Amino acid sequence: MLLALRLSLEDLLRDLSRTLLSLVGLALVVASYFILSALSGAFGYYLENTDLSRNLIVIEKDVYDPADAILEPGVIAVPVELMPGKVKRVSPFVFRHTNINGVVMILRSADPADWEPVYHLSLVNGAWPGKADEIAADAGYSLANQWKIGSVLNIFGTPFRISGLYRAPSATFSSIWMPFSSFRDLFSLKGGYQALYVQVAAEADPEAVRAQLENDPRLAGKYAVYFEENYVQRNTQALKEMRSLSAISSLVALLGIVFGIFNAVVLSTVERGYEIGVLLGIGFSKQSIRWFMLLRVFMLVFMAYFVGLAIAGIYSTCQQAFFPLFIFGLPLNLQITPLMALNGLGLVVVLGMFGTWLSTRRFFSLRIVELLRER
Amino acid sequence: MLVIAEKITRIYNRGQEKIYALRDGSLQIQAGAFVYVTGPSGGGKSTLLHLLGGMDRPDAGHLSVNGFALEKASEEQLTHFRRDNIGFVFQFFNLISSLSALENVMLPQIARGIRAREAQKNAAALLDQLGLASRVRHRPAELSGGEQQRVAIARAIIGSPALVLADEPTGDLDQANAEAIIKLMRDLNAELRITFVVATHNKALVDTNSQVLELRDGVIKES
Repeated sequence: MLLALRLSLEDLLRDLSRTLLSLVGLALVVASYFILSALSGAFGYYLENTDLSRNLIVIEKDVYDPADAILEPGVIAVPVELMPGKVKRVSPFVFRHTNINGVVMILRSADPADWEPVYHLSLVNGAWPGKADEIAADAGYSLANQWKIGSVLNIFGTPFRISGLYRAPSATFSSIWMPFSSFRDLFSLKGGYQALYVQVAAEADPEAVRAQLENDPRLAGKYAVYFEENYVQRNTQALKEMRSLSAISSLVALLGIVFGIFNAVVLSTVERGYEIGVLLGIGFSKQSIRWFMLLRVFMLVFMAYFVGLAIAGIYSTCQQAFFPLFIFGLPLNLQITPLMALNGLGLVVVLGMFGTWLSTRRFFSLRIVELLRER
Repeated sequence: MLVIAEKITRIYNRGQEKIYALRDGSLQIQAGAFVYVTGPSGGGKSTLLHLLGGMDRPDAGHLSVNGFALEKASEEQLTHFRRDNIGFVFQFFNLISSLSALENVMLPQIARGIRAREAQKNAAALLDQLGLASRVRHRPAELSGGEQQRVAIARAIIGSPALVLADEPTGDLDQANAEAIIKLMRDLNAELRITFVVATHNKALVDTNSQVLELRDGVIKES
């Protein structure tokens, strides 16, 4: 075994420039796989942390722009009557599309007590707004726009100070939040809220609650009740598609291993045809020579794997530090997890084996005398 | 008889054309013999040696070596046959360039599954016997042609094969070295009773007191 290892290593070192070229090519393939896997993982993070299916939204029906919807005060009483058995929490809210420091964003407002339990906002830095001129900003948006705690944003002609940065589970709530009193004063709202969030109790059947609300005579015909999922479906679907695309691309990238190994092995077997013929002649089996080639391939792919992993690690660190990635304003945290590294190793080994088998198949169908003529 | 060949034929296809590398060849070789195979290039010498060594199969006829029928053997059986019965010496020495002389001689034993330590001990003893004790750590490129061929002979006989096949073993050597190599093989044949079949086109090296097979246009003629 030691002799085989030494022979493999010396064989690789025999043509150092070609080995280095193969190594760089394979390492870049491995690095691409890890970067794309990390990207897929970053998309997945937001999908996995989106647990919104038990929320219902009540909004005025037949309104062209949801921003124009009005929630009559009596509507809130309907789901409130179902508490606590069927409904856990009811949260009316308002929103506006508005230009904030040159960026068109959704400004949202609801009772600050509902921000965490209903809208799943989690504070990552600073504090929730406590004063009339304070707001909370999405951490991703803030990173993208270089906003910090204390930054002052001009909203609808009024300056507001960021008191806290939060992270939201889905792109839908990634925006700027302010208390309802500030919102009402800012836009001189005469009416009340625009829509209503209804958090269904854990033990209740969400579909049954939805049907009950929609068919209530006070809402029927005038208000639509649907799952929050539908509301965020477009963004969620886009995230899912991007995750799938990244995952597929990462696997396609890794197929480069097969072609890289195929080329490297074909070339070396053609060059060593005569030597292989001699080894077969002195009693080595084709299987044992294939194992030797596999050992050589493993040495190459293992080196490429670790170099590729290092390249991907350096790339993702630099990307985070200097050119952070965002999707729907959400920061994409490129992280290479141990599971990803393990999967990558497994795939690299399997694909390396496949590439070796593919490249030696034709070669080993030749007779020894044909190999001996290769000189 | 160690080797029995009855009307063996080997045909190569070159496009539509059939080339008879060996045509209805019959021969017998006794165990312990030293046999020369002579004839011009392309006459079929290498083909005969490849058939005797189980590296190729005849298209027709019967060929048995050490009681083993080669024409019907499977690929795996032929591998075992070569490993256990045959030693090869090729014209261009064919030592593995990245291995030392010692490691090259160890190879057939490793193919047989002998432990590296034991294979190393056996190889070192044999190289010492052949006068190469000071060259064991040298790589082929650091050895002269004659030394390389002696290493190749050591590699061929390390497993005490029943039959050693040498295909133009002196083809790349000057006359003095060529004679020394033939003498070495004859000495080993006499000392170890290993059967040698040596193909050469150099008639000056042939001892006419030995069995001589002449091959011309694929036809074997014993003289």
